[in-house]
Amino acid sequence: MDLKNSQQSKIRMKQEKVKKELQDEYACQMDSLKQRDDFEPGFEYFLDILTLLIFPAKLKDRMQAPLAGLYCIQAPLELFHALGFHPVRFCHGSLALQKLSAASLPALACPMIKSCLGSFLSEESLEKICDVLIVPTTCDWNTKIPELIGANLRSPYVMELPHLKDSARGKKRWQEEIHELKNYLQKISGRKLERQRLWTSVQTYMRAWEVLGRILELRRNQQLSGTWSLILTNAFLVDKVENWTENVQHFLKKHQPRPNSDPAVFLAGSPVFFPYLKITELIEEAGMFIKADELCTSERILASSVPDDLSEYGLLKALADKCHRGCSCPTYADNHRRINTVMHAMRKSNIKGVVYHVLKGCHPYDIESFVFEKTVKENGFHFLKIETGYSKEDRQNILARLEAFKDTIG
Amino acid sequence: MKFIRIQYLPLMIVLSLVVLMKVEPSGAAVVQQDFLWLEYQDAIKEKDGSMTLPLQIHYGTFPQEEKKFPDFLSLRAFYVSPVKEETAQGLIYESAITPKTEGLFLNINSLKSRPFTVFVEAKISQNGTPHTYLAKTSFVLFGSVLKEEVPRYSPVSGYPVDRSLEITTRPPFHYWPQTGQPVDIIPLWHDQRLQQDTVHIFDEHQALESATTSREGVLTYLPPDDAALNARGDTAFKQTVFVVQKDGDGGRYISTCTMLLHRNRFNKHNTVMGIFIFGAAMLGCLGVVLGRRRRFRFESF
Amino acid sequence: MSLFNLRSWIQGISFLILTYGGRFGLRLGHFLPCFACPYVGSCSGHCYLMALQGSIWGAQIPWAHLISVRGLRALGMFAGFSFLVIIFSKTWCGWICPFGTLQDWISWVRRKLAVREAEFSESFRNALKPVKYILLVLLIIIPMFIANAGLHPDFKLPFCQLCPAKPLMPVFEGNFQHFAIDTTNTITFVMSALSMLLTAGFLVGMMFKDRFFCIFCPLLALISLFDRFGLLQLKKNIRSCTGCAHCEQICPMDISDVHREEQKEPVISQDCTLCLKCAEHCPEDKTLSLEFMKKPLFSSSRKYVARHSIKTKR
Repeated sequence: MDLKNSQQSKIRMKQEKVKKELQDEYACQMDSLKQRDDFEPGFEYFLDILTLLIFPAKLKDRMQAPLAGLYCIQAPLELFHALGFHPVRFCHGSLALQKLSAASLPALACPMIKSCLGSFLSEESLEKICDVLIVPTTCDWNTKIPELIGANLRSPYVMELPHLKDSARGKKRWQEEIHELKNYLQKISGRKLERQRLWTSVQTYMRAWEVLGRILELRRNQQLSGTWSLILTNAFLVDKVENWTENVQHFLKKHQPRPNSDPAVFLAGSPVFFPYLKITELIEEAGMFIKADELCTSERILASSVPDDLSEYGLLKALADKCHRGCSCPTYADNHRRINTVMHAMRKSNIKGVVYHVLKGCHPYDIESFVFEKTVKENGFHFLKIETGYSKEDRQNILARLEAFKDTIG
Repeated sequence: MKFIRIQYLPLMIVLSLVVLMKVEPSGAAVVQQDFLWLEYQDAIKEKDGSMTLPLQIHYGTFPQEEKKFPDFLSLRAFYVSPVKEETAQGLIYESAITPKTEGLFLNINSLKSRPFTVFVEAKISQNGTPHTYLAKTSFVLFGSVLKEEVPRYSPVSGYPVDRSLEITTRPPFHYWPQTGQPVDIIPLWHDQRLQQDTVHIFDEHQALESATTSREGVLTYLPPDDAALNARGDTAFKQTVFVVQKDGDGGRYISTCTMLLHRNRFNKHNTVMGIFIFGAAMLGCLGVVLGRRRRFRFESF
Repeated sequence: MSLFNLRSWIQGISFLILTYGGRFGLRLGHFLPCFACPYVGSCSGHCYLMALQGSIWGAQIPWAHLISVRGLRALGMFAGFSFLVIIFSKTWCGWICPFGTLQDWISWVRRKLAVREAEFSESFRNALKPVKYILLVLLIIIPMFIANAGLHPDFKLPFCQLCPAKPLMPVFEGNFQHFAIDTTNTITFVMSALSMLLTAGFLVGMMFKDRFFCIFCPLLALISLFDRFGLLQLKKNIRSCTGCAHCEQICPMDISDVHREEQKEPVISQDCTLCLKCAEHCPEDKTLSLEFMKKPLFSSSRKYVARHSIKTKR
């Protein structure tokens, strides 16, 4: 009895410690952002919103709705919205949280998974406060999440993601998954999906997609830095989508662009999520401008859906397609066109080099980086691969490499 | 396999219908007084776009009893064109009669769309009585030559044939005469209508009929529906010959008028049945589609 | 104005012109590459399929007349048709054809009622593709048989006899007589009864599937022979396509070729009606473009999708 109690109190002490560290980590990152030259008051809202991530109870109060926690970007947000859920995405960029999960994961685990599991094991866990957890089987780490957390919580809902996008059977299977998800959510919420509400949700998210496009456009014109656009996109889903859209529109109205003529780079690779902004900050510190990216926490947070058939079936079909074929996650097997996104953006926006960011342990991007490098170089562009983690120890090293890279593309 | 059948279904249906073509029966006619009459042949579309209508001249009765032509005192053919509808008068040309092994023919060629009336006249003396035969027919030819028409012959002045006994029709022209459409037959004797006069009607597919003109001298003839003609496509035609005979002016006059008849185009159209079939098929298809659509739904596991 | 609205207006106007223009003396010829049905008394031009099957300008011609003024005339008619197809390409189908417009209107109603569209599996849809070519061959061969091999003349204009536009389009001038069953003889009876069955089938099909008739349209097959020569071309930038498949999803003809194409730029395929819905819904900038003699008239863009794709459906 005593042993168990002492173990529990040990855990609680560790949780307390991590909680404090986490708050410090957030506060530190906020301060550093606010001290940037290009900080403007318009960003306050997004920073405030991001802070809610470490206060899940506050977040839940603010939403006034059951929370649906989502891993990755494959579950259609519109479906949750239409059934009264507020979807939250579990992306964690915190180094402190990793300490809680260190004992339960391999040493070379993906930093984001470490963080996510850490968040799970923390005292005030966002994951635990969620009413449903949705896990699509994207990368191996994600596929294993139910196993890792299953013992602690009621089972998360797993969606089997067909890794073939362009086959009729893959399409059909994914459609089935979406219908099953609908049934599951209906059961949990006790509501029935109404077609009209789903259609309204589609429109709501299309408006969000529209303003996302305007953020990206600003960045393409070198009028909004990569770090700040990442803050804007990271804050998506931490507030109601309507609020986020409205605030982005408000920000866009007030935003005063400063001319920037640094050489432009394309940021590809593993997701980057607040407060882990090391890579973007370093690129900017090295004197380069992130004009475009293909991160699932930035440009790819939201895809367009264009339903033609407005019946419930048709809407779900369009949503299924948008989250499957419309998504260029590297975990798909038939994904050779993914690189077109990069090449097209580079040609169009006159970008000369790709910084390929790999979180150590993030296998899909790591594996893919070799194919990427080959294609990028064949097309006459420069390529730099950076492997790193959430810790800040390798800052100087990376900075030096980035500065050298700047010289080659300059 | 399933699709192959669906794809070839129209072809199979169409080909099977070819087999269903019907054989045409022919009616019998009673031998009467011999007469001269004109038989339509198939009109020929010439390569230059003009139309040629060959007409065969027959003597005897219609249609079986073909007689060898006696030695007529005269045998001449004329055609009138263009014909003014109101007066049935127009420019008259003499037409050449071409003897062939099958008989005597005359060819009417038209470069443009024109109405024509053709007369063939023959005279003979039988047992000392002069007989005058007159065969007549009216039609429209749809030539479509692009260049302007230049008169190829010069017209004849005055009416060259003896029209003492003539059969006129009302309307004088119909571009598509068909069964089930009444036509007025008006025999004229010296331009006067003949009241209560007998008109013999010979038809390729019907039995010989004799009818009498009304008090006004008009016989309204309604060509009856003809199954044999119906079976033969909508451009197929048959001939009906009206024959009148009159003794007078010290001789005998026998005149004929040939009418070409197509099958009726609309009488056998049944819209009610069509809409019924259409509606039933709609319901059937809707039922099948709605029934099948359930299968698209995903089952809940 | 969005392309969708522009197309809807043009479709409406050409429907009015082609269906009622004849009342105002408009005569556009007998070689229009769209279903301007000649059975509509007040139509202002005729579908070329009638001329093609007919005995004046088409296939019902004796062999001996092939090399003659008549043969030349048929050729001239085809030349006129070809000219129109080369200039406007398949916009005849997607923008002008009154029967296509009628189908789009029916689809519009279905969309308003939120009735689910029927789906064909890819293999079934592919199996249907040759049907239109078979019909095209039949509608040329049957009149030739009539003129040369003694096939019964009641099979003349075989396609017109069975085409659902024949009974349906005259309804717009209050004429229901083409719904009639012709009991003149066995052939006319079977053909007219078949026509009613097919019309009913197609009408039901159109209610549940976009452009259902176009899948079988032999005129589309004939027009698509000119796909490569058309001055209007739908081009795809294969280097910027990310394979999101919006084009495939939105296509009323279920064409997947635009999505799949990774080798060559022109992407008009045999079933394409050039309705340009794919270009309208493509979120990648300048990836799908409509070009007239290599000059782009419309290019896809993220902005366009954001501005129009949802609004046009309200």
